Amino acid sequence: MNMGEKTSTLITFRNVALGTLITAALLQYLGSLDLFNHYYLHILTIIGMNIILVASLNLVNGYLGEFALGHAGFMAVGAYTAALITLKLPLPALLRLPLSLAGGVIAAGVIGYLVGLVTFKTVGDYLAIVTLGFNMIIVNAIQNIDYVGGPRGLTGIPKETSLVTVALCVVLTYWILSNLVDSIYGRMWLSIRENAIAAELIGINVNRIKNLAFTIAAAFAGLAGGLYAEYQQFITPKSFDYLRTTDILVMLYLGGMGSLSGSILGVVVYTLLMEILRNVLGMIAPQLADLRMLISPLILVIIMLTRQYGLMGNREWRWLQPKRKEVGGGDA
Amino acid sequence: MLATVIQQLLNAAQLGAVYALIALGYTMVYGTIRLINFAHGDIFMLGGFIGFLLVTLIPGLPVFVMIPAAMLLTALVGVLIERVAYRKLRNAQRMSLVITALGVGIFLENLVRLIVGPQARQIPAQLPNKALKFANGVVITEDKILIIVISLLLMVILWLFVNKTLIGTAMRAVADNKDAVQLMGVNLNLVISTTFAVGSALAAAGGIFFGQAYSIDPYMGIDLGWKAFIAAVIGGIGSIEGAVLGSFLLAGVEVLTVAYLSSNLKNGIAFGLLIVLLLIRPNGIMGRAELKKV
Amino acid sequence: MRRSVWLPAALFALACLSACSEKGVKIGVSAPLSGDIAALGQSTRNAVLLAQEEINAKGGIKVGGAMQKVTFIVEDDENKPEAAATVFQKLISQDKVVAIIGSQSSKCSNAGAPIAEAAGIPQISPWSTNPNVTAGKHFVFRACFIDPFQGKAVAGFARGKMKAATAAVLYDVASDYNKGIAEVFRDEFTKGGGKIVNFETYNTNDKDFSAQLSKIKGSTPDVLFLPNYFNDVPLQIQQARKLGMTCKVIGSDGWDNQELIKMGGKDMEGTYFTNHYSPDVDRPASKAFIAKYTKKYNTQVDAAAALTYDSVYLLVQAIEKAGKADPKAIRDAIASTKNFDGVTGAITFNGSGDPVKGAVIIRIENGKFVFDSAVN
Repeated sequence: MNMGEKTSTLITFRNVALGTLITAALLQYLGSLDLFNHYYLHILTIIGMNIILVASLNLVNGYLGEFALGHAGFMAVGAYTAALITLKLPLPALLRLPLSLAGGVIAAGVIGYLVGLVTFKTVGDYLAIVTLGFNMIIVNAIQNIDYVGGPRGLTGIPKETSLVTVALCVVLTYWILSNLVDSIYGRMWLSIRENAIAAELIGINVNRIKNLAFTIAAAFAGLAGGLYAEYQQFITPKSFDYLRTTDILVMLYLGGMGSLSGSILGVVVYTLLMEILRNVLGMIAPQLADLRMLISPLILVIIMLTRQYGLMGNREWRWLQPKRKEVGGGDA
Repeated sequence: MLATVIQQLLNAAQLGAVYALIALGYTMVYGTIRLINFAHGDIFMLGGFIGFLLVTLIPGLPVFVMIPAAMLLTALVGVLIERVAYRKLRNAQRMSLVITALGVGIFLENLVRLIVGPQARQIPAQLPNKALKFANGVVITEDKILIIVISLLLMVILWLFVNKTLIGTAMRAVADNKDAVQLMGVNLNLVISTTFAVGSALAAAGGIFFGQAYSIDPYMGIDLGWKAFIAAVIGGIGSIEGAVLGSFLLAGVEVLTVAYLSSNLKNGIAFGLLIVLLLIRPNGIMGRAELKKV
Repeated sequence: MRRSVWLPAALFALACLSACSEKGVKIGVSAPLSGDIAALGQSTRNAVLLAQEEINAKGGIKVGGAMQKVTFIVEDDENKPEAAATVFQKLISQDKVVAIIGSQSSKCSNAGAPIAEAAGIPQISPWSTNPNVTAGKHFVFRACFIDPFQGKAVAGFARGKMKAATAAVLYDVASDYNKGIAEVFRDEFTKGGGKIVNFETYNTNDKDFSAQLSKIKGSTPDVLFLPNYFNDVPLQIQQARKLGMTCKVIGSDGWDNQELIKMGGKDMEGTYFTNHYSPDVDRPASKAFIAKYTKKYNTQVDAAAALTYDSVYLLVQAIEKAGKADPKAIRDAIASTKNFDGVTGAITFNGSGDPVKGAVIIRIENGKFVFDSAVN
């Protein structure tokens, strides 16, 4: 007999997604009427973009168990591609965002695939160096391409991103990622993480599956990059160096590897922490604002010391857990 | 022509020596507790600043006193950090340690910035730095040679320490199998603290030399720390010889790329070459392939 | 988990509430208080706080008929574009400032400018020299000259007074300021008949330039152009001299900071650089400011401090002229500024966000910045 699922089934993925979109649309509308603080809108938008970045890296660093250090490089590829498409191609306004984002995703995915081919010849911490190396190569290359502004960066990108579009992308990202993670691919990634040799023995083409995760992660980083470019309206290569990668890593591990819920929580906690410190300290005394950069890493360390596996560990919220198919009593 | 080549090789040697002093700390800590101590670059910076403060607060302090004193103080800081931030997580998953290390690093950077100020400083010249001119146009300053020589000396002392002393042997044993070592009656905490102490002391020496030859600022540890980490990995992480080799190799690639290819593409080409190297030797130059039991 | 969200949310709300209750004129400041140019951030804040003290001591700003105190809200943009965007957004939407002074680096100004422009809040950047920052915008201004003008000035001086036929350049390829001026210099120097024999680069945070300098030494240029910041330049000159290079050296306004002399010492003698103003030129406004600043902070004035101070008073003057604390009116008043007598020279706006301003050539003599000549 099946256990009756008496607990509320209101919190399903579909409902959370719908709730998010509706809330985003509402907040944005209120913002346009100046009834909702644009600063909060801004923070929410940044959180959204970071969620996409962190969740996608979770695929490689969490589920697959690798230590990839080059995520910001793919974000850069996506950002510049999307920016170039909106700046240089004459497109009707409605198509600009979807086409440029698609361009960013594809470009980042392709670069991710190529980098993955090279990267997965190495393992462990050597893989970290190789991915870091590619991050630096990408940044260095952009710095030397004057057409995209070099170190001066690219200005004048039209603002196409809004809270609603970001929310849409976050929902889309999570829909795809949670389905991937619950699928056979997710199982394969987990098995590779736990024991790559055993995985190979049962017939998994380890390199191909690893590269799949890497490519998908890169593609989503490209999505985030495109959104970012068309939000800030200005991009510069320095925004995508290893410091940015480090930021993403911190949010990822803070939330918990191997947990998509953790990715959301990690981003939210980290971003809010920084902004709250900015506001609260500044309110008490202007000189204390200096302490923000001293207090935030301390809090980070304390959190890691008390919650070793990150805030969520590898647990998931109910609405992100895989649906359990109920096995009826009919099978013999 | 030859003069320029020699000149550039000497430039590379000096840069490599500094990288090596930092990389050794990375590799030793990694070897024993498998932690990539991303705060290590900031220990290097801290060492430089401790040296700077010693010289500024105690005028007339001779350099042979300042350097060991700064190394000792920095070693104490390194041990303290391990005790407070890393020890509890020793058996946790690696990534928590990495993030904690990152946090400690950021904390140190901003602490120094708030205490000493964000400006770059130079440690007042204490090492002789006359320029020696050679016949074929090569020019080296004495402090450059001194730095290379002292660094190599420190590396030799380290090698002797790790390979010929009892505690060094204990360190190597911990690197091999942390758990079995405890069954042998070795005090694990002592060994790990020693590792941190020695690594930090070396980094401090590097910081002081750097502050003499160039300048120090609170954020210098970030860039150099990453470069040293890369050097340590290229050489085979966990191997002392590898760290030294990797450092000189990285410095050499950087300098020669600037000299003979293009300075604009220095980062790109240097890392490209290193990636190629890692593809040829996936475990680094001197690294040992780890046997994985299935 | 619910518990850990309520507390921070409550704190956040509390913080926001109290921020809205300050009276008087509020001006936002975006400064790089942490990060790689934190020294400049410190100067920025120093200048702002000094000005705030002076203004409020006189009773405040005359807005319409009444005197209103002024409060400067200084935020840290960490010299990162993303942080600058957040800071601008916070200052505008949360603190409800009437204008923003900032940012310092061009990349931060570039991130904040679209936000200020969209919100209709006037922005004055004291130090950003990238032409893009003001291009096509109505609400964005700057208090300094732009890279194309400065590059031309340096090149002219090098060809003219320095009589250089060949030049080598060493600049930071990863930084827009350095690269911008380096390229303009290259073009102008060549146009003026000179020859660029080396065009070398390094990366931000590099400290060892022996490789590039050894290369440059081989082509024996007449002059070495170092359009870099004051923390890199002393190292570059020291290393060049140690290699045996005796050529003349010239730089740009990134040099303006006493740290240059502190670190460079005797190697800096006889070098030149372009700057916004010269402390020893007889301008009462400059002298008064320098005296007050050095007395209060026990440190020398640098370009960031001087330009920020000018930006503040430029803004204050505009507010008084506009007669009301209304962003649009303030913007119009700034745009119609003619011959504002600043510490860094006379500032006039002629229909764009870039001021009409001259430059000066500074010579380093006996460890001091000495006026050499003026460029218009």
